[in-house]
Amino acid sequence: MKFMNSDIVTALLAWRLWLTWSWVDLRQRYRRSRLGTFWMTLSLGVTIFGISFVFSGLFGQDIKTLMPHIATGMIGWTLITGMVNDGCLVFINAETVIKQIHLPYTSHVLRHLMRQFFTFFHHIWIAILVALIFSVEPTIKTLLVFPALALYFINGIWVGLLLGMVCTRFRDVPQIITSAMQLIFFVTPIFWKPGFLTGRRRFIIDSNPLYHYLEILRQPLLGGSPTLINWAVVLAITTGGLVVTVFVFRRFGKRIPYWL
Amino acid sequence: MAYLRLTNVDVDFPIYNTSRRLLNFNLPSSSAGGFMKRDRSNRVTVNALRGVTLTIESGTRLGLIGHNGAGKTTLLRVLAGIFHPTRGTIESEGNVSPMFDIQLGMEPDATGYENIKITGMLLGMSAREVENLVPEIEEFTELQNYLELPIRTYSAGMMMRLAFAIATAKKNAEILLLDEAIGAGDANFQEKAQTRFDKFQSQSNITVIASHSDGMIRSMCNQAALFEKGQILFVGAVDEALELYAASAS
Repeated sequence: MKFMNSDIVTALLAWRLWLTWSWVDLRQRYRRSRLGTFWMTLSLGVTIFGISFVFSGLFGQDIKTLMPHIATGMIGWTLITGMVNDGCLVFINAETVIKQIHLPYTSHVLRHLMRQFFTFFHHIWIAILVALIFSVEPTIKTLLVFPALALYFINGIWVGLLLGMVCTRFRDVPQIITSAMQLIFFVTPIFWKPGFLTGRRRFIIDSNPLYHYLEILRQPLLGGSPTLINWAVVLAITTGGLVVTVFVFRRFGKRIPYWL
Repeated sequence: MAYLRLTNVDVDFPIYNTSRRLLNFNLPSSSAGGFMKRDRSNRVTVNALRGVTLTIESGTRLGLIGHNGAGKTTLLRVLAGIFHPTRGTIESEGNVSPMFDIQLGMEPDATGYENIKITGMLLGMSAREVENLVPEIEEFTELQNYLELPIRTYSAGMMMRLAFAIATAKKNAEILLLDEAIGAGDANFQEKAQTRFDKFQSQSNITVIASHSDGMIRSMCNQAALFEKGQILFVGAVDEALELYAASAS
């Protein structure tokens, strides 16, 4: 227990390190470009606008309700996918540093996680713009976005630690997960509305845990509130994930550099 | 008082995904590399350290000598807390400053100042400590305005100067670990750099350095440990250790 506790606590106390690190990581991708990190906002924004126009025609849906739905969906999904896919590679990408200096493993996870959140804070402007254009009113329920983000952060930590460990040991897993996420993208109502699937097919939506994760972020952004089932599923998976991660990390955490 | 104590430390590296059929273990033992064998699951492992028991007290400047692959770098990494021993225990007191790769943490697209901040924090200094050290680093490197430019615009020498300045900036490095093989030792020491390095080194309570250079060991160390195939053959006076090493190599 001491190994894990000291790892997480030391990492959290060293917040300046991974905060600066992750910001520098992100910024250097856009160095010397005129728009800099604003490209993140622009490129996703263009995608969202494009998809919304096309699919509102395809589905015969009013763009006024569809675009906010798609915007919030894609922004939330980008965050989730980022946390999962990059989480897999956390230790693999940090191999050089891990072998040169001892840092808490959680610091490496937090560095990547913050990068995802910085990206999210660039993307959220798209949602705000779309809300302004289509008169989506923020309500008191919109404040629920903060606990949602806090839950995302906590989940990001255990996902990064657990998947990071598994993927470092078994190098096929990152590929499996990337493919799985691509598949799940289509069965999650991101650019289509849940209402499109009726009757028996509805279980595809409800049994997809990432749908519930998406809803706790998306609904407040649209001025609504997530259902109790959404919260229940997310909290259950968060708790379960943390417990499993604690066991696995305590047992195998010290093996990470041996697997690199 | 700083100290490092290893008791019966083994470090075994499993090598994943090698061919099952290769590797003839009946060949006479080579003069380079660690001790190789197959473990229980018929997987090749390199036993980089075998049964290492060593106590390093405050005031010790220990040199690690031995052939390539004898275990010197692995030992340094165990002392740095990077590898937890596969078997055995390590106890330590005092903060450890590894100086394995001087350019660790340097981001080419970030400016000199930004790199000072990132690398400084990576090496365990707080944000305020780093800020206080900036004037000293500015003065030593003599880089002036270049510090505001991204370091990818620097020449190799300039980059080395900056990296070296940051690496030797920390004020309370109690245990210093130097791996000459990886790069701390091949900085082209001019007098100014040598002075800075000597000062940095003298602040530490314990220095452990792995080196192939007899001269460096003689000038910097008051004790030496001779490694062979993951085991310590001798710990004691520098001259004796170097003689033993020379004898075993012939």
